[in-house]
Amino acid sequence: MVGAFILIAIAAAAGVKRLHEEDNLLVFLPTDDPDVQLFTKVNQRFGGMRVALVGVEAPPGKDVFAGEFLKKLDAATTAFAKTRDVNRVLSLANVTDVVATSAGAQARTLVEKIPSTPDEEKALREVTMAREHLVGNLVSADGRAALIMVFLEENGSDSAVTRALRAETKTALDGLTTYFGGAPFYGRAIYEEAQADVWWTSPIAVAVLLLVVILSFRDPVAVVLSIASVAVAILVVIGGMGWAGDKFTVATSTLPVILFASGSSYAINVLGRYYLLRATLDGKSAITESLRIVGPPLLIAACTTSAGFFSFVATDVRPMRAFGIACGAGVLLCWLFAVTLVPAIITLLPRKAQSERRLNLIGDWLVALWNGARRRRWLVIAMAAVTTVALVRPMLRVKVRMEPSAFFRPGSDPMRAEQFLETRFGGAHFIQVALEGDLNDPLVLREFQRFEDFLGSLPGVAQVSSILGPLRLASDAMGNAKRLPTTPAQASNLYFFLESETGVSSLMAEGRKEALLQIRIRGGEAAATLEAIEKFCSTQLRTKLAPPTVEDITERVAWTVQAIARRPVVERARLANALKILALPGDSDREWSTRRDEVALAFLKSEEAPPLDDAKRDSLLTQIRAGGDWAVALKAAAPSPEEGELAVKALTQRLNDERLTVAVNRALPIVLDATGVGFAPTQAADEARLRKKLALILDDLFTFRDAPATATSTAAASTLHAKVAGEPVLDRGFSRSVEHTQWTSLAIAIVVVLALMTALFRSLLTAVASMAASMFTLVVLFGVMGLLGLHIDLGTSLVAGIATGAGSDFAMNYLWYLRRQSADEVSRSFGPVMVVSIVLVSLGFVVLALGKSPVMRLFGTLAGAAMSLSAFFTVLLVPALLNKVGAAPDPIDQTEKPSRGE
Amino acid sequence: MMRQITAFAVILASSIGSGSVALAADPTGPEVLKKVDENLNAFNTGKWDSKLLVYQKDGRAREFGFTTFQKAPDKRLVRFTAPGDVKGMGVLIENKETMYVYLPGFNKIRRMGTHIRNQTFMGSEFGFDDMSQLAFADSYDAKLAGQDDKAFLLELTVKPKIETDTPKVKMWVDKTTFCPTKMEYYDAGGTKLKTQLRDDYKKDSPKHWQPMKITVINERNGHKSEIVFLTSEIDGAIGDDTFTQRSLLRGN
Repeated sequence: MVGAFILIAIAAAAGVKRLHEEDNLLVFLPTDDPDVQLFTKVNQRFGGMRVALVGVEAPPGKDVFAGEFLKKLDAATTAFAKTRDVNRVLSLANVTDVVATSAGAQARTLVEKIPSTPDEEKALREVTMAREHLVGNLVSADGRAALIMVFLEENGSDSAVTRALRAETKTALDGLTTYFGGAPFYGRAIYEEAQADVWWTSPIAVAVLLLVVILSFRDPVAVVLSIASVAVAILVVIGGMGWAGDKFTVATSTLPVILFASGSSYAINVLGRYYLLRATLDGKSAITESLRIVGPPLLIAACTTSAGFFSFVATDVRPMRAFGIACGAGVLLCWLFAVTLVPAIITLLPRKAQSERRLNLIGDWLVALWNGARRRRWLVIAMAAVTTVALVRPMLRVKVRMEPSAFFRPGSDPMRAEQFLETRFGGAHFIQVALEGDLNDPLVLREFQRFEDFLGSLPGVAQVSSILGPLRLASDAMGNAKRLPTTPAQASNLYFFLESETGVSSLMAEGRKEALLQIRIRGGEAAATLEAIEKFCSTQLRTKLAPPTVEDITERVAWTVQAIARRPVVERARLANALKILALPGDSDREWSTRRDEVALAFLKSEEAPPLDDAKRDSLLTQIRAGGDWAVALKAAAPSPEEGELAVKALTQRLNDERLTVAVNRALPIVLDATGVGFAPTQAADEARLRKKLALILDDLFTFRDAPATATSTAAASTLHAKVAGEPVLDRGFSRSVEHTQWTSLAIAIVVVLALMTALFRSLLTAVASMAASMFTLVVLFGVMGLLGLHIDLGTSLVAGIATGAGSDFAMNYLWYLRRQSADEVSRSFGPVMVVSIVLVSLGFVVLALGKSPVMRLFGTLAGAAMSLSAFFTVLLVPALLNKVGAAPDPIDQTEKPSRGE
Repeated sequence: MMRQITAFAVILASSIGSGSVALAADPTGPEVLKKVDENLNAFNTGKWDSKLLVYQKDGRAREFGFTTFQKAPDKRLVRFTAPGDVKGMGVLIENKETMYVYLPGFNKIRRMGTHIRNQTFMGSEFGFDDMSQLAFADSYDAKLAGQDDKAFLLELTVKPKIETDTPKVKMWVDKTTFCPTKMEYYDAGGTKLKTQLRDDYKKDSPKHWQPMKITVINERNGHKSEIVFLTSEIDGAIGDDTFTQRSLLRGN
């Protein structure tokens, strides 16, 4: 037998060597959740949905435009871009800017040359701070902090990439204050903190258990056997995981503590009874009799405890399923080794008897508690009922929260980073919306823009990025003043250059049928913002598209005003009326006719026009002024019909564009006035921003309402569909899964434990009574959590199952011995053993609460409290309920004074 | 003796076949590079009809047709002919400092900064400079890093004050044609960014060699693009009026 165990241990050790660490936190995501599946699918399509943020503060007295700072920022940006598993990087050092120069429209990096003089720094500062898409995004409003956005590859290792980014930061940004934010860094920090806690608290837990065992037995063989039976079980379980191909996660690292806490009592019980029986029996007989007495209740105890762990199979988080199975199997193995390995070795090494250690103080106290509960059973039952009623509502208020910020410790690096990013850059969290539609279609692009205008109006949205930004920049480079394309040909032409730009593949998929909106949101408002976005996508985003109407334009203007002025447009009807009466300037309009002549003359003198002498040019101008058929004359003047056609098209385009510009400039003050929003002199920058945005919206009004011939669509029925994804959606799916897991695993644990108890006692009522204490414990625990505003996470969701299984053990053991001994005997003999076991188990869990990680602290506290409370309520409720549930005649009744009211 | 005469005759014959005077047994890097540029740029005017294949992640290729006109030393006109959504688009380089783009959707010619010359487009790995012939010696210094019986290996380093993302290039030069068959482009840190393969060299004039296929592979993401030259006309009658905005506009 001993030889067999040695062989098993060796095989297990070989399996341990095969075990690899799982450092990808995404494996903890529930695979069946639709939100998680959507996130995975969109991430595969576009990549870069996981965004790591590195924030950098300029040294005191300087800002981010100082040459020395920019050199370091550039070095860091370059180093990050070369890091494995990084999709792309964006910072001030590499962001593209489009400027008009004498050499034409230039798309170049914003920082082409690191400034080396104060004047150069000043010039760069002015250019940068005038770019609204950069302020609050890559540079803070005060110019003293910069942000580097690192978009990670889909299947990369968060552990490796965050470690690499930190190392590069240390080198490239040496001497500067840095912050690491975003889900990849947060996830790693939470994981590593939890991991570190487990590594240093586990030896303490084991040491505490060792102390208790030493004090209990005063025999080194017994101490070694107690610890060894659990240690071998741990080895076999972890080795089995290695052979099965499972990976070692932060959950698995709590396995030793949990098994020592839950599984050490079996060997202690067997050995404890053995030492007592050695006083009257020989070694072999003593161990046999010990097994006969304690074997059955220990088996049931092991089954109920492991049932609590096996209930984790309800979760769709694979590592937690594996963890539950491992813990459940470990508990059963602890029992198995306690009734096989321990007896085998004790038979080989027989021990001397030890007198029964009657912990008289504890025994007296338990007897008093028992008798008190029996005498005042109605009071006990009533108090339990009242407490239950009082705590049910707070209990139901307890929410599951799985977003990383719920796990930040005050003062921790993630917390500091979160605060930095919230105050300087408007947040560290992203929602992504995947849009499906023909991105060559101007109507699709307009609806896309409408969606962006809505997003800007939400207070929780800090910044929106999409393909529309680069599209507008490219349009501006073509002299089209940031207008979105009005024909599919224009869109196609612009994509020609855009599709190779860094980062565009993360915003638009090949084929131009799918686009991704990246929305940065403020952490505190994530849930509300997500809800608003989802509501818009399901109820207000148009799936069948048509040219924008005055009502659409009114809506967009109102949202834009809300976004910039942070005030609503109160009189929407007035705004709508103002928009309705706006029109393109007529041919007799003086301002327009002056501009028309200037544009026409400039064109006719350019190389794009056919070669014309002065007389022909003047003649054409006269015809244009008179509104005559200048197109015919221009074609006739061209060397070929084709050139003539092209010249007419080009001039027509220019005249249309100029007429739009005149109309928009004229309409702006009218529309601004109609919004009812005024700006103080100190808000000149905001007013300028609003004017620019309104100009683009009014452009659409005039184009699609007044000059529809200039705009075309790709198809008779343009469509657009949206799906919302991103970290908050992921967190919600995770929360949903955790909540589902909690209830399902609890239900499974209850059913299994109830079935086992019923089989053991052959009485359903007795089985229910045996579970009363653990159920009441759950009500108290979660009720108090509700009162304190605590939330449930992945770890605490498992406490219910653990408490049900392990918590029912105490009652089950009490009831088992009560059928064979008097209550006084049970309280004085089994009671202290139970107390010692409880202390053991509770301490084992509570040690985890000594760590820094909020996750571990809450789990350890709750699990330890659950064990202690279950035991306490057992000695309170079992005597109170016993008569009421018609238990077998209780010997104690024959020796006790009858209590009042019985 | 006979063997030595035979060997000399072989060397002489292969030199004549390449259309150039053979270099010394161990030429220097600059000499090899000069020869390469001579062979690739031995023309005054040129016109090429080509197709660009951009391979997608799923292995399918998007195809674009274009025509390139070139006139020494700097003039270039690239005009796209297919498919419909790019037809008519063009880029005109009048000289090193002056570049125009024509987008038919906007009916507009726009002067662009010369940064666009190296900008890739349509998701391909080619920029406009890649679509015409250039002299490497204008931008790079060369060192002979090795050779075998078939090819020289040159290491090119960018010249001072020339701005490029690929300051280092390794070039394999065929000993028969003195044309590059493979080039590897490296960034300043020594990371390989792109590999370019040139195949199917044809002599389309007494001195000029034309690769009929150029393949570029992006080493960072594995993307592949190809240019296949369908026709090649050297030293035809291409006047300066081809390289004007009007020509860019009218598509002739």
